[in-house]
Amino acid sequence: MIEQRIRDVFVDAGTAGWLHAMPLHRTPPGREVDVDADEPVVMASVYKLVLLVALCRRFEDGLLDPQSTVRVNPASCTPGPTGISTFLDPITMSWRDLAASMMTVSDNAAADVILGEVGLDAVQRLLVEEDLTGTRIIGGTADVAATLMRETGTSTTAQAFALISDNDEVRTVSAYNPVYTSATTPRDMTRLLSLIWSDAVVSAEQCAFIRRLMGMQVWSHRIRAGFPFGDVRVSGKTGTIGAVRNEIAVVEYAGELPIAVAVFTFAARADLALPAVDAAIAEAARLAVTDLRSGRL
Amino acid sequence: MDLLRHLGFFVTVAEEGHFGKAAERLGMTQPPVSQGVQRLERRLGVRLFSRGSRGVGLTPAGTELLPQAYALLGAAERFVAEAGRLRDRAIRVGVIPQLSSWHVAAIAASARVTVTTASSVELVDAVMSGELDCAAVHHPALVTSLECGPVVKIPSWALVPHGHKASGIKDLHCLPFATAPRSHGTAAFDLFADRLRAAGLDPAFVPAVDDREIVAAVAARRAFGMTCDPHLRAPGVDRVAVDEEFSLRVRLVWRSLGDDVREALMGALT
Repeated sequence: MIEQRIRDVFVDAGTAGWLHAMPLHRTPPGREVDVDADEPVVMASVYKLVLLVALCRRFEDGLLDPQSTVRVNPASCTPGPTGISTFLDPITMSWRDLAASMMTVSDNAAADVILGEVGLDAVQRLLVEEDLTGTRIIGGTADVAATLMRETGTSTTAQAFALISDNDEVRTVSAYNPVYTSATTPRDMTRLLSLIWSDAVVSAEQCAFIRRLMGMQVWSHRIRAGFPFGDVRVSGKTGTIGAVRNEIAVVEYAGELPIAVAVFTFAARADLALPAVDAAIAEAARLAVTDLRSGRL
Repeated sequence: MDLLRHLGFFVTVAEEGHFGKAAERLGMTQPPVSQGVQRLERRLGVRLFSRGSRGVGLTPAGTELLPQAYALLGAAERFVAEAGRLRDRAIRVGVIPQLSSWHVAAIAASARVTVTTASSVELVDAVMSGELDCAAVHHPALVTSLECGPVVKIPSWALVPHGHKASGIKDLHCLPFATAPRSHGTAAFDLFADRLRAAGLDPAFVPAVDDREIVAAVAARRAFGMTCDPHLRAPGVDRVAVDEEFSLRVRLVWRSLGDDVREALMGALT
């Protein structure tokens, strides 16, 4: 059983894991791989994909010009390891480039600026309209960071992360609990990917824009690492907070049907870097996708 | 009204056929027994006995209700006995083999327990299935939905072959590390391995499940090992103090456990 092999991969890496994979563009949908795919899981930065779809709706409805510019002062943004979050000086960039930074390097500052423009209500409306009933987004990176600092009694996100990465203390922070933080299910996320890949959630032009940004994601340590082959395209979005490591992606072999895969993990170890878990995400995705491949068409 | 007590009167009077003899058997005087039966009859709205000059006899209703009174009293007795059995039952505690005999004795002395030894993976399964009441597992471990206590760091020592010049972890680079296999709990194993590597030691691993196997490997000069037994001494084996980060991390897991027992077990571990 492929599901048992995937469970064994998670256990070996010392992590809990949830996975859903299904081929796209296939009617009837046929087989899928389901490892507790309907359980609620913590989203982390995977939420940025939903936010991007909501932003593209504003573009499409003519409420926002993708090429109009916005001035961002990094000093007033959520700290983060990448993108504008790392800059020292204010910058001016277009909304669509801001979206590119949010998606390709998981830029926290860019995401918070976009969430400020789009609004949580529009994100919620999108989830309801598209019947993503297992998904709930309660705020952006800034909100998660604020809650984390409050719960750990720290004044910077760096201090907060240092505390939750200590293996000698077990901290129950709400950022780890799908009941209290932005949450989804693996099946909801593969469904969102299928909507994006079939031009169903926004216009064909906007869906192509989203697919392009997901294809340019720089990280290759998770799902991409499972497919180190020349003729495979992996378009994904990762999500990471403390012991939570996720990625959702569409894997496209040349000449085959694309396959959507969503992997969510929660490690036993608190360490901020666990290459073994990243590798387990790659292996679990590879096992699931290989099992579902249509073969050359 | 204490129904069970009054049913006791009913059954005894029915068996004796006489209030006085029934009272004698119950270790009481006659008036409270006869008043008790009357109270029961009033409560039920049914006459249980016909009272004549030669004694008392069951009415047809009383005859029909008597077996059910026996059944209720029997069930009550079994209920109390089962509660007693649960009260007196030993708490089934599981521990990892890395926990020393010294700590196991401390646990056994702290509460009424039976102790079994297994890997973290097996212990978590056993607590999940109800085979064990609680377990001290090697932290960090996948504990799924179990309740968990805080992380307890138990001071540990390196065991090295006698005469080996080792004043710290880094001096052990020429020896393999004898320890429980990775399959016992991958996260805890990997964490310890990473701590050794960060400290400058990247050893080969040889499987040795408990102190006995570790001591045998060390005395044979084939490996070094770790123990959390504060008193372990053995021929051919030297103890070396190590940094606190190499302590044995354990965590108590359970599904439901009394606070008193949990505190006793935690006390034994710290």
